[in-house]
Amino acid sequence: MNKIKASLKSAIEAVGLESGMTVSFHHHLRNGDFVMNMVMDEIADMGISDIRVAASSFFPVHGRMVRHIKSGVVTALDCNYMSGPLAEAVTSGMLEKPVMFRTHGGRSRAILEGSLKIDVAFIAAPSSDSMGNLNGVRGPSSCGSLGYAMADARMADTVVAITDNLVVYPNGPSSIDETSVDHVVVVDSIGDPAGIVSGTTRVTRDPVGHVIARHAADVIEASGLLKDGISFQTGAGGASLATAHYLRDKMVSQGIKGSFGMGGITGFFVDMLEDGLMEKLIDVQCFDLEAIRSIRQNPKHIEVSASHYANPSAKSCAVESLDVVVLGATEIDTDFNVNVLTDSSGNIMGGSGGHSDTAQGAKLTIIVANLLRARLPIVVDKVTSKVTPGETVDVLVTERGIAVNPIRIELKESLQKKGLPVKNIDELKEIAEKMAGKPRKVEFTNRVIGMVEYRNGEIIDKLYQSVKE
Amino acid sequence: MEKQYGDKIVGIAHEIATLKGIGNVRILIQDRGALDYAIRARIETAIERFERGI
Amino acid sequence: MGTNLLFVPGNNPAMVQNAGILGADIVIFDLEDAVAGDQKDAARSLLKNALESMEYEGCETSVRINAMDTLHWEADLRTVAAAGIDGLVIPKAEHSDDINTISGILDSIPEANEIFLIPLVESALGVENVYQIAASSKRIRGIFFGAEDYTADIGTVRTKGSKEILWARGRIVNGAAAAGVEAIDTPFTDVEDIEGLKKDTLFAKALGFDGKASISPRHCGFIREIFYPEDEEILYASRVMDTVKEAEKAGKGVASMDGKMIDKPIVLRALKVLRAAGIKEDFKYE
Repeated sequence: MNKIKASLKSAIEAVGLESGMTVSFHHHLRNGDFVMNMVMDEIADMGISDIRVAASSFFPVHGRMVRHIKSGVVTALDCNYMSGPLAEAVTSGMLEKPVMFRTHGGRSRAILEGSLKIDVAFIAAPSSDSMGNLNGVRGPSSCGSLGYAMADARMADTVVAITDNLVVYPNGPSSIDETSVDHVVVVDSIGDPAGIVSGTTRVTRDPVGHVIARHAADVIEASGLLKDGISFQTGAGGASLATAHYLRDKMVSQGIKGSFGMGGITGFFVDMLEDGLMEKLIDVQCFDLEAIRSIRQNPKHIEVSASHYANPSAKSCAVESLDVVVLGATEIDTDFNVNVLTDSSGNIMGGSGGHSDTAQGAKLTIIVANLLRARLPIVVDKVTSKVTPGETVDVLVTERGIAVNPIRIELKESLQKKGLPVKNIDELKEIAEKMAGKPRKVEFTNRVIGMVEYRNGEIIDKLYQSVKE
Repeated sequence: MEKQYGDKIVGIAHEIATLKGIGNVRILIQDRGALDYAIRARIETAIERFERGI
Repeated sequence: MGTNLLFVPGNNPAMVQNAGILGADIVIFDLEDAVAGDQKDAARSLLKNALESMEYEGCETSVRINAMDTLHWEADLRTVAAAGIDGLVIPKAEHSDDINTISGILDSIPEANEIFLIPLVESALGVENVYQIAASSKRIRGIFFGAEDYTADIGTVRTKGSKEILWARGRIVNGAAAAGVEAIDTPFTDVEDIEGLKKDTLFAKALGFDGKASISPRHCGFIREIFYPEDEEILYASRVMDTVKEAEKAGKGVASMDGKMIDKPIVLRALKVLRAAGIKEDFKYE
């Protein structure tokens, strides 16, 4: 017996997909993903329509979704992050129903509690056997962790694994095992390796980014959290990753060993693990080849599900054990609310991902950002879209000063004692506006194009379509 | 950038053109988020080169 | 003067507007080598407008104008002097006449009263004439050694070992000291080699340089750390100056501290330490 279907079409027929249902995809193949397009094209060819697509993220490669929206095949979207042509289309109001924007932790919560019901989960599997034991660490389209697919596999009515690397039974290790999988489809390729992960993740060369990163590392040190057992998560690039490098230098010079690094894992964290600067890595997503190699080989590099990572309804989750998280922003307002979903003109270009999950969980949440992005001040009166609430954000670090959330009185005093350039957030806003000029307010219509769901299920903001000029 | 600063940028172009006594020209601005001082500088240079026939 | 000087390409708006936060004591906006020949006018205009509207707190600003054997130097000088620059770096300085010409022009610009000069000595003739150049004008703050062009001029290869520039470095330090101005060492050009930078900077300090230039903001912090005196050095230097000033006030010909006489070398060393720490001391040893 095996679960292999001769074609994607026969698998879709076997699961009984009908118009009006919800399908899901993970985003571990990132901008190299072929699977979502392949599946949606097939669904369209089969005459099925009115589908809700619940993907953990949409990337520029998923721009083909636009034609499926135009033709009525896709009528609703649900995701944690969106960029590229699909994001532009949604921004322009192409989709009738507002998109549901969630967090990584929130999506897993919604799936596991049943509020996001998935009829068919299509799981891109870099490695699978004939019975549906899947992993992401072997094969030509390796992606590493399959953390974002695990809740889907567990709760969806039916699960179809799609692989370009069929191996002999039993496949091991299995991130998702056969007990969850209904069918397996073998295709020529599930993704483009160049788009799945980067070769290596490099630190920014931008000198301003390095100024910010140095300040951020100093903040972490001044907070008192830089000691044996520290745990932290940073972004995969820009000033966020650069902060990790400066933090590492401090750890080396002070003989400090961390307990765990988490993310979004890059080669940087792998180096820390292998150099003995970190005990363990907790990995919900691999960003580069080094991360994939490490998760495959090293038992101290631990794959976790999105639920284990950040589900607020779980008995506990990993973000709650995090000491420090260093995050980016497109906007932050004077109440420290953060936008990572749109730019200041209301164009969708991202999403929470794990932003608000880690911000709430970590003891110290640091936002690193250039005070001016192109010409636009990062500090605004009110964010265009509130994704991460201000009460979970502790510090904003820019190249022209550091602002501490007023609710963190002791932290502010510690930073000032260390001689760090602490300013009020309003001062930073003034500096930015003095340099760039005060931006004209962008006008929005009453039409809602997106709902921003916080990790606990509460709708904390709505996205409105901007006025066409 | 156009929504937030478009009017300002156009205003600078008009201001400099007027100061330089230039009329009846088309000024094409491809902005990538330059601050006012840089916009001013680039327009000044463009006009000076135009006047020098470059 | 401060211990680290950072080159910033003069035609790059992102660098120009952020130059003040990159950690340098003096920013050198470069109109010479960093700007293509057909963009000199654009760079000059960019700098003029930046100087007139941006605030550069925490650092002094200077411009490396084009060399005096080019068509651009005078327009560079007149433009930035009127726009509020703090200082000028004069490339390919070989003779006191070069400095006198520039000083003369600055003297005619009302806004240019306080503008300091840093001649960049980067040729065999310049190194030969270093004292004469350093002593030629009250505006001169220091002499800056440029090793890349110098080694090309003497016909040898520039290496990390730097043996080929040892003599020139010594002559620069000596000439600057004899003229009572500072000596600034050549940039370390391998941006990624931080250990090499530290070694080179420590050596420059040991030779007697007061500071070092850099082409990468990443180097500024390391240079400053190496040149910045230790707390005990600053304390000692402050005590020396307090003692000397008290003795002078009391009409005493000789000052002593901790049982030892404070003579001229000790005072000069103390002044140098305080200068490196950014502490201004208005004292002239008679």
